[in-house]
Order: sequence, then structure tokens, then C-alpha cells
Amino acid sequence: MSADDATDKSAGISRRAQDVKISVDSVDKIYGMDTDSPTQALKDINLEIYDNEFVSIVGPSGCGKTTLLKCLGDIIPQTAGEINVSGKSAEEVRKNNDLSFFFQEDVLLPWRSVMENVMLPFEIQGADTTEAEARERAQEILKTVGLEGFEDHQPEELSGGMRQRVALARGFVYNPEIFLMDEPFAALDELTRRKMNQELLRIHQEIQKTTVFVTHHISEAVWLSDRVIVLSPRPGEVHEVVEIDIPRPRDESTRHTDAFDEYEEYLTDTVMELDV
Amino acid sequence: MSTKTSMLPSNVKSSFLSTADHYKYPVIFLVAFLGIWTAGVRFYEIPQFILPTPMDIVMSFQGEIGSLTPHTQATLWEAFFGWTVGNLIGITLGAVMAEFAVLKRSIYPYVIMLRSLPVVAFAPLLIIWMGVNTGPILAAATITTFFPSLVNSIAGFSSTDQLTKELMHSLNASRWQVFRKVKLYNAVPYIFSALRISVALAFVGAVVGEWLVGNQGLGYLIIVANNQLNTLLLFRALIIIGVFATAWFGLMMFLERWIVNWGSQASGGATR
Repeated sequence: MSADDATDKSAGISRRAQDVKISVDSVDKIYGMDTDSPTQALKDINLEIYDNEFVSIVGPSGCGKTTLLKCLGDIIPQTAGEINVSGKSAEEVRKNNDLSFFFQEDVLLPWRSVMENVMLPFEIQGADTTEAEARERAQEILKTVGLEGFEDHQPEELSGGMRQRVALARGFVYNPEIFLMDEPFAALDELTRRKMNQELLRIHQEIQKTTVFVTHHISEAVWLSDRVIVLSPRPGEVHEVVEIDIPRPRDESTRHTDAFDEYEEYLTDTVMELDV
Repeated sequence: MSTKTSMLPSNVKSSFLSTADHYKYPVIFLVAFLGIWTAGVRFYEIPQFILPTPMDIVMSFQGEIGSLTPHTQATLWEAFFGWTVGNLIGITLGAVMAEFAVLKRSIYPYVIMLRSLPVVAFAPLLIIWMGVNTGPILAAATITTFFPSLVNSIAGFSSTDQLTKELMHSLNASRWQVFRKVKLYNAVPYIFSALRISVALAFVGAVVGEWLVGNQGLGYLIIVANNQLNTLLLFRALIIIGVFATAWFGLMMFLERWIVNWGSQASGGATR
């Protein structure tokens, strides 16, 4: 149903083509299969996410948002079903360095400087760029996230918001096909979160990459997304897919429109009803 | 950390004061302790062969340095050998065991069991196997060093958190890359912890070894002093061990502060 909805409505600029980028087909995830009390985290998840689309996954805690994202990123294996990204399996995509995963915490390596942390993906992946090119690219992305001049600082010298921006830079520095973000701003205070949202809006505008964004923060989801997927808990199932029909580019003023309020209210009610 | 505080003069002053504060209490305690010791010996007229005064002990070093040197060298060498070899093997094996879960699961329970046995219990066996020479001494120092080193090393190489592992996995890092770029760094504080703890243990191993089969060394001197009721000599040997062990320990602390500059020193719990 979600796919049909999406094609009907006139879309934002990110919806240039209706190419399916990520398809999730009957995915189940059961934890503790070999124990007496297995728990089903995900049940029959079916999704299609389009090229360049920004999709958020929301839902009450325990609905399997993070589990689903980690299956997409081949960090944990699904129990059944198939995940495809441009016709390749999630594992192939990960091994091909075509996905970038952002975590709930910044996960910086404390013994590395800001620059060295951002260079980590190049080092690991042995990118076909030269050292100088990689450094230039890192420099560029640090500027984008507003950390120019902090290249040689150690993570422990930075605030939580700055550390999270380093983590963003590390995820954005290489050139994957999809971004998978697991509540990357969960640990931040409201004000910093707001700034990071603006940052992300701008970056998404700029680089236009298919993004799946997990959050429990409804207004964040509305602000950033083309579509919001609502999962219901225990087991996690797709409850509803809501198209956010607010034109891009969006900015701070978007938050003060009636449409924004309506979406936020509707989604909040929906999620609250699911949270028993 | 210290570089940050030293940028401001007022902080320099306060950090100097806190350093003075830091040493104030131990120094006061030492002076009081030595004072009570001396007063007690004088007051109860305790004979020197039972308990000499601190001053007697210090003065007794006069003219004895030459005869103490070879013994000191022997014990230092044994302790150093045991410390180096025990840590090398312990740290390496710990890394391997942490990396291969099956290995860890099969061996770890026995490691815990073995390390609770005192080295004296091994010593007769070592003598049977290696004969009456320096072999058992070096082996004793190595064994006392080895177990805490191994336990710390396993803990250190296993200390990488789940999210960091997932990050490396998402970047498609090879096992070797995860080891070299992450696990090794996380293990360093634990390794230093092992290096510090094992200084004292290496001396214990060396001294116990000398008691059993030595014909020189500070442990050997302690036995001789004991037989001759030469309490001053006994104290001299103890003091030399204490001074070198403390200096060695201090050197390790200094090295750790210098190398582990990312704010996680001493997070490696002093498990032993």
C-alpha cells in the first residue's frame, strides 16, 4: 500500500525517480532461536524504499526499529526473508562499502584525533583514492559539519554535539549508496539535536542519498523525512506508512507550518496508541 | 590533561599545591612512623638483633655497598627476566585467547585455578625438573608474573565494546584490522596494569627462588642474615628490594601516562 501511496502523490524533489533502492521482503527476526523462550522482534516486514528517499522508522520502544535497521546494514542477520539493495544482498552491499551505518553513540576511537577518526573508513576500506585525496575529502566533510579547525583535536576535548558531528563526518566521508542511521542524535540535548537536524537536512539536500533513519522523536522524523514508517511492537510489524507531503527544501520555518503540526500530531497519536 | 591545566597560571599554582598536598600526608605519616619506631626501640631497650632503629639501618649501609652490589644485580636480573618473559608470554597468549573464543573457553577456568596456587607450591617441582641452579629461580619469577599478566591481557583484549565492533563490521573491517586498530589500543591500559602489578610479583618469585636454590642474590642474603641473626643485613636487603621495586613501578606509571594519552589510564582494572 505504501508504494502505491507514494506514486500517487506529487512528491518532493528527492522523488525524481520511482526506482526502488531498498526492498525488504517478508523479513522476520527471531532472537534466541536456540533457547526455550525465543522472542520475535520482527514479523513479516515488507518495505520498498526509493532512490534518494529519506525514510524514518518510528514506533514505541521495543518495536524492533533498531533490529530492522541492523538487518538492513547486515550487522545482524534476519531469520527469514530477503533484503535487497539495488539487486544485491545486504551482505554484498556492506562488503562493497556501499552502506554507511550511524550509531546511537558517536563511537569515536578516543586515541585518534578528529581527522584520524574521519579517515578511518578510508584506512579500513583501502579506498582507491590516494592519501592526499582522502585527506582532502575528509577536510571537506569536516567543513560541511562545521568542524573546520578541529582536525587535530582529540575526541575527549569535544562536546557531545561536536563528537556526534565527527561521527557524522566519518559516515559521510566515503561514498556509499545508502545511509542507515540509528537514532544518531538520541544522546544529544534538544537544542543540539535541533541543530544537527538542520545540518542533516542540508547535507541530505546536498548529497541526495537514500537514507533510513530510526528515531523515537516524532517531530524529527516529520521534519527530515519523505515518508515515515510506523512499526507496532512485539512483534515488530509495519503498522502504517505516512507520506510527509511537505515540499523541500525545508528549514526552521517548516516546523511552524500547519502541515507540520498535523503530521506530528497524527503520528504522535498513532505511536501512542500502539504503546500499551 | 596536565597540558590543558598548565595553560593558566592560577591552575599551575593550584596543581602545584595539590602536588604538595599529595605528598604531604605520606611524608607526615613516614616521619611519624619512623619516630614512633625509634622511640619504641629506645624506650623498651629492644636489642638490635631483634629490631634496629631506622637510623641504625641507614648507617649500616656504610662500607657495605660493594658487597651488596653483586647480590642486587643477581636479584634484579632474575626479577627482570621473569617480568619480561612472563609478561611477553602472558600478553601474547592473552591476545590469542581473547581472539579465539573456543581457546578462551577451554583454558580460562584452569588459568583461574592455577593462578591461585602460590609459587612456593611449584618450586619443588621446578627444582626436580631443572636442578639446583638459577633455572628454578628464573622460572619462579616468570610464573608469578605470567598469571596476572595473562588474566589482565585477556580482559584487555576482550574489552572492546559492542558498538565499536559493529562500527568496524559496518566498515567491512577484517579481523586483523579490528585487532590492530581497535582491540590492541583498548588492551594497552590493561597491559600496563599487568606490567605494574607484576613488578612486585617478579621480585616475590625471584626471592622465593633464591631461598630454595640460590647461592647469591638478595633473597639468599635474607636467608644468610636470618641464620646469623644479622637483622641489619636483613633490613638492608629488604630496603634494596623495596627501592628498586618502587622505582620500577613508578617507571611503568610514567610510561603509561606518556603512552596512554587518550584518557583511559588505569581503567584497566587491577585484576590479579
